[in-house]
Amino acid sequence: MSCAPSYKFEGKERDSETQNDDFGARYYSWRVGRWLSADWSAVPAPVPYANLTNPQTLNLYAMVRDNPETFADLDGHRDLGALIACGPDGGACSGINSTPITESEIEAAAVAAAAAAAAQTAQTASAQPQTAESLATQVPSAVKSAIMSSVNASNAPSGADTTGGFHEESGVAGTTAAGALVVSPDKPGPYGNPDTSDHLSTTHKAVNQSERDSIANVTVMWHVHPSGQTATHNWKQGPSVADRRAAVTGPINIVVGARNRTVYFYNGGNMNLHMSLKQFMGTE
Amino acid sequence: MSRAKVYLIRKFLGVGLIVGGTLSPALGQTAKQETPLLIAGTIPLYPRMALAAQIQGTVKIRVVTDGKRVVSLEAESGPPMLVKAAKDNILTWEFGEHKPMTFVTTFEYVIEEPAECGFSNGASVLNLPLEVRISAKGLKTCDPAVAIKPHL
Repeated sequence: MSCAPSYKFEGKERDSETQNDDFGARYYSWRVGRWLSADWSAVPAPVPYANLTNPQTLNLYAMVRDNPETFADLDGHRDLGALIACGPDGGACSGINSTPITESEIEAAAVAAAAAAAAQTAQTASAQPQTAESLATQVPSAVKSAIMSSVNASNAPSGADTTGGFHEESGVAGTTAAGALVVSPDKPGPYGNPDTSDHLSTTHKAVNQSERDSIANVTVMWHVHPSGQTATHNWKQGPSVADRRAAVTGPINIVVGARNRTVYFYNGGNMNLHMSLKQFMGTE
Repeated sequence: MSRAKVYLIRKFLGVGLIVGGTLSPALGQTAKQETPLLIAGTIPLYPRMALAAQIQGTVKIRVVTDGKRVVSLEAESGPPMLVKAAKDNILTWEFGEHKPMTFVTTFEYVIEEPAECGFSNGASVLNLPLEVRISAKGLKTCDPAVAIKPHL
């Protein structure tokens, strides 16, 4: 007598004696096209795995809403849409037993799964180590020009900073919802003498706020650490601890040392990439 | 699927959250309008990117429900970055059974002075589902002065 398992509908094993299909949670009868027992859930629920907006799911003996061409049942409880939403092991399905699954949730889960797969692909593609050069090539020339203007402005007199080199300049670049590039410089930061001030700052307040407000996606944020110095103090040129604390994920974060004329790329972690300002501007 | 569902009667660490009532002079001005009962949603926060880029303002979103959930959102006004944040939050809302309806929700994003060195938690005042006010301290970088080492 052969004991080889027989795999039938939905790839499930058919019991050789009863001719019923084992789905894990319960048996399915191919003869009558119904479950042999009512659906159940580990957490008590009035109608397990039901979507109260879909009457088909209220039938505890029906399979995949009586629509096997569209839905699949992998464990005897839920259709594939639910599994997409909750992960194949069902273990991450917090509250699934008591939460109805709607069509829109299934669609959203499918979209999210596709997006996650695309993100995974993109991550794999971008797994190459970043370099200062690779980041610099991602900065549009119009943004580079604005950064250069910020360096020049930081070295020029501004407000109380009558000698220049004692205030920060900064800016934000991004794209509108339509994809147009927006380069939006900031108002200058306050004057600070490093002998008497413990820090300088910028708050990225836009010169043109309506222009800034049109940005849907920020791609570059930059600021300049000034060149000014006294006999005993000057200003830090590379990214500071506070710079990293204020860094946001997504855009390229740049600080330029106006004194050492170096462009630093940083993030909220330990990214520490730099290149000369000349090289960044493509003139070296 | 991570739903990150937060029931609004809960108060979370580090986030000032006030729900319902007339809690602010800027809020509570709502004309009496029939609105559905909100039973779940996530806490709206100031988007970090918008805070870093100093983008603030008022967003108005037209919300259409099907008697249970949001089925359509349309921005009437507001900076796109904040519109997206507001829409993302509204999409987490779930309502009790009600007649399908349309209403306009206002999200007010406010950056408060003085700015602080680094991000800090803000405050979200919710007069749901019509008015939300989200405030946060302004963000500034604080780049330190450095003592010059004497040449030996």
